[in-house]
Amino acid sequence: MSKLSPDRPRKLARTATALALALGLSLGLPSALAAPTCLKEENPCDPQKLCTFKGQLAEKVFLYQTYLRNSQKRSGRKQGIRYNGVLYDASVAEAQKSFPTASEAELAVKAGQIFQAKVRKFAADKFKEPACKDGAMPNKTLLPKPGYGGMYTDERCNVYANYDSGEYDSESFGSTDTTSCKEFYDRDRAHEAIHRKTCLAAKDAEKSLDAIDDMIEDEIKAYEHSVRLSAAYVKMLNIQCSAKKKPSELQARAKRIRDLLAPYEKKGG
Amino acid sequence: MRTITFALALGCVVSVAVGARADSFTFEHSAGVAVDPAADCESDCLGAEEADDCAARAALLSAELVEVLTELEDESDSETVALFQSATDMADPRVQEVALRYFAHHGEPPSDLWSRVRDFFFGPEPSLGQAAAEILERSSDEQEREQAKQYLKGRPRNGYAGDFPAGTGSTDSWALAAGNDAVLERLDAFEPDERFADAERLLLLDRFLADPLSGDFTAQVPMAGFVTDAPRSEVEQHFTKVFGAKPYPSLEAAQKKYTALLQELQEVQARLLGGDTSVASRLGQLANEVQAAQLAVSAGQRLDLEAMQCTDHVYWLSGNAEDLFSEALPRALALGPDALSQRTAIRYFNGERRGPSEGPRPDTDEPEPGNDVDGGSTDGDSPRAKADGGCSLVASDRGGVSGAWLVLLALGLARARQRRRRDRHS
Repeated sequence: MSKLSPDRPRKLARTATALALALGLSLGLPSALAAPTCLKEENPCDPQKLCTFKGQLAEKVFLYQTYLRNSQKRSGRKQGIRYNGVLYDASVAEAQKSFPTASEAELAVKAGQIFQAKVRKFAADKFKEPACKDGAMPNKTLLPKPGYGGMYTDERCNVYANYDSGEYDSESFGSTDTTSCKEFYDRDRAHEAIHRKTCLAAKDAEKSLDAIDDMIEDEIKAYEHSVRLSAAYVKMLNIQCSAKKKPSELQARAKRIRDLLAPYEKKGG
Repeated sequence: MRTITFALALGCVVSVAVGARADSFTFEHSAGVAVDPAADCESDCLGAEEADDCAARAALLSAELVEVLTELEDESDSETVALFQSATDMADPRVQEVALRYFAHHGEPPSDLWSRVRDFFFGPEPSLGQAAAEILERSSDEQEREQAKQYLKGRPRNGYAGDFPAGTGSTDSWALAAGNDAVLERLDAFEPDERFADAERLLLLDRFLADPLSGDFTAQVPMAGFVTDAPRSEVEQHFTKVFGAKPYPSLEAAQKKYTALLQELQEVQARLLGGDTSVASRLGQLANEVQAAQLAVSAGQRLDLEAMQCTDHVYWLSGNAEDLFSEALPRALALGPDALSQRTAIRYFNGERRGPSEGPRPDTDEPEPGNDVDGGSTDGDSPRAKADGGCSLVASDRGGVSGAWLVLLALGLARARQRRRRDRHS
């Protein structure tokens, strides 16, 4: 049996204090590493939350289709989203005008940067929030916190979160948010995971991913995922609100949309 | 002064952010403006003149259609089925995918949808092809079921389907699969003019090969599949130019050759040890031939051609033979008949670029002409080009040196045996 040291009572007291503090903290304060998940199966129907996620789905489809419409790889196809390379052509022309002595490769990269800026402006100018059922409006507190500018993958294939024009570790970003849905940050992390993969492959081959054509294809792939994931989020929230929807109403709305979209995409094709 | 410094610093931060690839950006949605994109759409967007927000409205309508269709996924009445069938003809691939997943989930699709399903299966979009493969798994045609199985081997369900992906963020299984698809499309190891132009993607051939010799046990080399109806000789000629050398013969032929050479080597060694010095020169030749054949077999095995059922494909690998078994996989190409598609398959292995090949080895057999497995008749029965040398990898001079050592050893042994016989007689 070991002899008790003279310091033992003090050590015990310190340990007890630490435990008490920890217990108090865990009861009193939100966890430092658990941003709220907004998608729990047991949640009741929340029209505002559904509206928020619908708006995000619509935003991602808008961006996805913008890249698709400017894809040179798809421009010759007779089927699919109607090509409209206005942004692409404008970006290339602006790059040529602004950098007249640049090489073809440098121009392609410059055109890519200009194109990204044009897409942001196009989105800010043209995108409109979709209408939600029963007049529900998006709940902005669920969105990523103000100052968040998205995430990006740099030329070294490192991923960062853009916040207040600074760069932050992407994996942990948002973990201390108290109202923003974790799902939006996860969606952006996954988007960047796709970019990171192609970045590493390009780096191994000593190629650049930033030329405008490659960049557009890369974004199409990444936004394809953002759309699929956003649709999965909306689907889950709709299930929680499904008692309010009638199949006949849904079918009628789907037909209405189909009968507008089909002739629109076939125009000029 | 402090203000100027701060402004400069802010400018630097902003410019860094702009110069870097800023990707998944966010933007402020128009506050308080909720729009029904279908309102006035016929007049605004379907006439000769379009309003300038029609593309935006089309996107909103597509998003809503995806949402509405997913809400109808559990219905199976004839009207819903017809709606999903018409959705496979919509322009947005995401709408098409939702429709295909409905039929993958709901048993037998309508009989007039099968042709559309096959279009997606053989098309260029992996997520649509994968969904089509899940439907074709139930085809009454055995070959189609086999094709679907191959497709799903390269693109399993957890990368594309299900209610949610496995993992989130950087471990999201859907994102990881999408990243793989993007890498397969890039073919970074081959410049555009190095790729055979008259060929189209056949996604069911795609694979990722493990490459532990690269030093990273998680490393994988993407292999993208194409098919062509061009004459085989034309395709071979193109890649002979790209690699700077003729291809290796097929793995099947290389293995047969290697086995036969080993057999002969045993016989020659036995004769030499028995005192027959007339075979000494043949021993030297055999040493080089065995090494060349071994290289051919090993190269084909390195490309995992047997696992891909491509033992009848000829192949090229760039770079130095010595590096093949100690470094990462070099870029490579396999060419041969594809039994499932009945066309000529071109498989691009997106390994490291290593500069031009060293040139053909004189001791390797030429690829055998004609006689492909399963006929290979779609290439017009063009015989393979007669090669003058056949290998795109050569052994280093070490091959010649080791042959000489064997001859010397054999001669030495023969002389020792003769001396022992003389000693016994005396």
